[in-house]
Amino acid sequence: MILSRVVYFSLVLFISACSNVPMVKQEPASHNPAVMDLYTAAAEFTGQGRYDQAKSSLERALRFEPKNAWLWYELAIINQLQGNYRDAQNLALRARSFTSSPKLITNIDMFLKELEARSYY
Amino acid sequence: MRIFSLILLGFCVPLFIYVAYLDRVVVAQFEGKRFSIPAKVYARPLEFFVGQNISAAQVREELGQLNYVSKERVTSAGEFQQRGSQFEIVTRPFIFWDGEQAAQHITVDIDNGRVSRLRTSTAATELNLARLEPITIGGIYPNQGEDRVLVRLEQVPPQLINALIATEDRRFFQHHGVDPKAVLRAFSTLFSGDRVQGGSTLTQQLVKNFFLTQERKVRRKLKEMVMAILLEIHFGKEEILETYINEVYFGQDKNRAIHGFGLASEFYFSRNIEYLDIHQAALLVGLLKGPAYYNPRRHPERALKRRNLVLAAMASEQFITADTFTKVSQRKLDITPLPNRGQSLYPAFMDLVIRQLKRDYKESDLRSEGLRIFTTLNPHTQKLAERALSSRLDDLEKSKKLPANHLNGAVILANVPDGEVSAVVGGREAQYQGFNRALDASRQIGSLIKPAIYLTALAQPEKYHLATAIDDEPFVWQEPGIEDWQPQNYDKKFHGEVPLWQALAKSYNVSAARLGTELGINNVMATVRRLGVEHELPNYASGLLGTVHLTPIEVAQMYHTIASGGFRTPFRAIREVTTMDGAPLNRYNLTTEPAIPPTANFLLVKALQRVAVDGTGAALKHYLPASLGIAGKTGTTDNLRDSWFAGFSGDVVAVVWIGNDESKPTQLTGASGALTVWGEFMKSLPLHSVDMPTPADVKLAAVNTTNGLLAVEDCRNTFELPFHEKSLPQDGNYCGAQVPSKIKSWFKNLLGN
Repeated sequence: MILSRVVYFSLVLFISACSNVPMVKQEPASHNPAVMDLYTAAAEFTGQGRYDQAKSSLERALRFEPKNAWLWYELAIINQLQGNYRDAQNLALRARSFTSSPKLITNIDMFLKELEARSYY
Repeated sequence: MRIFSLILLGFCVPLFIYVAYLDRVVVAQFEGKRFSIPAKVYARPLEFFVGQNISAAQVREELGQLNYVSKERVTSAGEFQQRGSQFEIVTRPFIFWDGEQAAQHITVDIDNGRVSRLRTSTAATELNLARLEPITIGGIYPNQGEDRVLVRLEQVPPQLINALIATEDRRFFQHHGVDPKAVLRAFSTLFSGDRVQGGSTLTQQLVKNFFLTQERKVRRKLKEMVMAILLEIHFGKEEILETYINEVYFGQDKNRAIHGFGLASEFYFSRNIEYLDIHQAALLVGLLKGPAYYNPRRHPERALKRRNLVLAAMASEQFITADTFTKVSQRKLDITPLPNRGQSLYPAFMDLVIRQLKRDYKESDLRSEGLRIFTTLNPHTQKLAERALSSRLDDLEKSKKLPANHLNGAVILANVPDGEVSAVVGGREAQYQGFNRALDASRQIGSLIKPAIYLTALAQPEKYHLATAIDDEPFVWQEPGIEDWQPQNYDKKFHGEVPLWQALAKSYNVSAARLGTELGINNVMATVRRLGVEHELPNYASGLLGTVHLTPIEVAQMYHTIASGGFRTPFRAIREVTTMDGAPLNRYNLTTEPAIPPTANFLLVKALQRVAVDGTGAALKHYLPASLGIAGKTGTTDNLRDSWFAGFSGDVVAVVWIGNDESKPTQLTGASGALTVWGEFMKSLPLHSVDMPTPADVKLAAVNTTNGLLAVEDCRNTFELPFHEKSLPQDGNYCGAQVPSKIKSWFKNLLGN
């Protein structure tokens, strides 16, 4: 559990550094250990630049928890890292529709603003 | 002397050139000959995690389809044991898209339809996740329909090789392509009339299979001998034997030809070649002489005799002892039942897979490169849907006194969250590859289009909300160039002022037509397009009542967008593709796009839920509990030619169409026909209730039970509905939502059914 939090935290740091997103206070992405395993695996793959594998893990996790906003958001982030800005935006919007956590919403909104700015180029 | 040597030269040189030519042919063809390996297509793998909804019966079913064997002591891959609702399983090793998964010895506990515990069987460590290998649902075959499972020589049991040698070519390892002794023997039997062994070596048989036609000419035989010798000069015994083992023909299975011992052992014994017993290996070798003549399923006595002949040959060559021979020759054939497959278990779904693949792969690669294709098919759901359709169609024909096979239909199921297609039923005889109605039957959709009208309205919250009064009084639409259009309701009555949600729930044609023309036909069709329909759409008024033709899968895509809260998610039948060796090739990503304003969609869903409560879909209560909050829409066309039902739970969207292939009337409405099939398979699925997140701009308000309109003065006798905040009187002059739910039934009684 600790390892997954560390990995997740590092991932958030990495992404924050790249995109000036304010750090989100730690919340577990899920209470389902299977989902957490896959989420952690996705974070590892992302760190290694293995984006397709990361997306595979997340989509697998989504089959267990389809309304988990964190999983959708993570998918959005990976698409952004791959340069798929349109998909990243859409997936972030989908993530947003599943959460009422003000912190996560703020985070997603900033992510969306960033995307808008980038896709302008 | 000189003349003699000249003659010899004159004879030898052309011969030499000819042989050299044959040599080139043999080498080029043998080396260049790559077996066309069909692509292998898999269903979704069954995964386990604690808390998952699944029944013990479903696990048992999946293990059965995977040919897992029940054993008292579970030790090797492919074995399991069920004790009550606990399963001990050793999974088979398998290369998934995300890597190789080794065999796992696991124990799964199921309690009341839920996985309560998951652990490794030996160390008893708790597991978070476990996965079975996926069922093979079919392949994509070379055009000759050849199918094979490639095996390496090391995988072939030695006794099988012995059986082959003993029966077909005793001196295989000693001769150099042709066996003179065998030729002489065969020559002599030509006169004696006994059909014993042919004189051909395995090498010669291979040459014949590869290069030469089936004529029985002496000249061709000589050519075959020369080429066999040449083959043996260039290639080793092992290579030749391995190729032979993968090439030989074992019979026809509907539209595929079984080639090679690898596939033959699966086809006749449901076993991997490595696990063949001696008597089974002997049978397969015996089949080679005449797969149809010795077909063990059609001619078991002949097959048994032939098998024991092979065993006798093995004994005489001392590959087995006399004792073993006595024992083994008394065994039964042990053939497993004919797999009901042909080229695929699920032809309608395979059709969808191939169409999606053809967009990204050359057809020739699909048929020959041995690609491994991981699909989204859920075999359990597929079976339920197939059975529901075929049994309900039988029942409906009887009850409506229709001729047999008058009705046909289609079913499509997809997952709401990710748009994965879990089942496709193309007709009432699902195992036959025929017209795929789910993908290709383009039929009028009738009332199924109405949600698009109401959605267009609800997207204008200042003008329309769920309780807006719609006029269901006689309506005439006049357009230059066409006759006056006067739509009628199904019950031939007019209902006066009705609230918008009820006009939809009861599927009134007149109010829909009036509203649709008010909104503008083009605007309504634009909504249909946003919902994901790519088909050409009509721009005339009757289109509002569904004269547009769509296929079931197009309808499913449309309702899927509604089920997803307004996000359009293109359907996928494939997750990933790997090479024959398991290296990832590509994957099909989950993508989605916001298409409909979430609030309008949310409100529409509320109205669609009323369909199942007291609207045209009320019969669903016989199949599913009200707590699921099923949303759906019935569809019926002119003269009852088409019967539709499209609906969804929180996690599954499904569409059923019933009709007659020649568009003859069916005597079925959406509710009396398609809905019953829909309810039949949905009731057996583990479903989540419809639970859409409430958008921030939605407020609840009270609505009069008497007329279903917004309650402003009298706040008693009301029930609640959601509204976009812009729809409510801005001065706050309306009844808030503080309504006990008992009052809902009053309303139901008052407005009748």
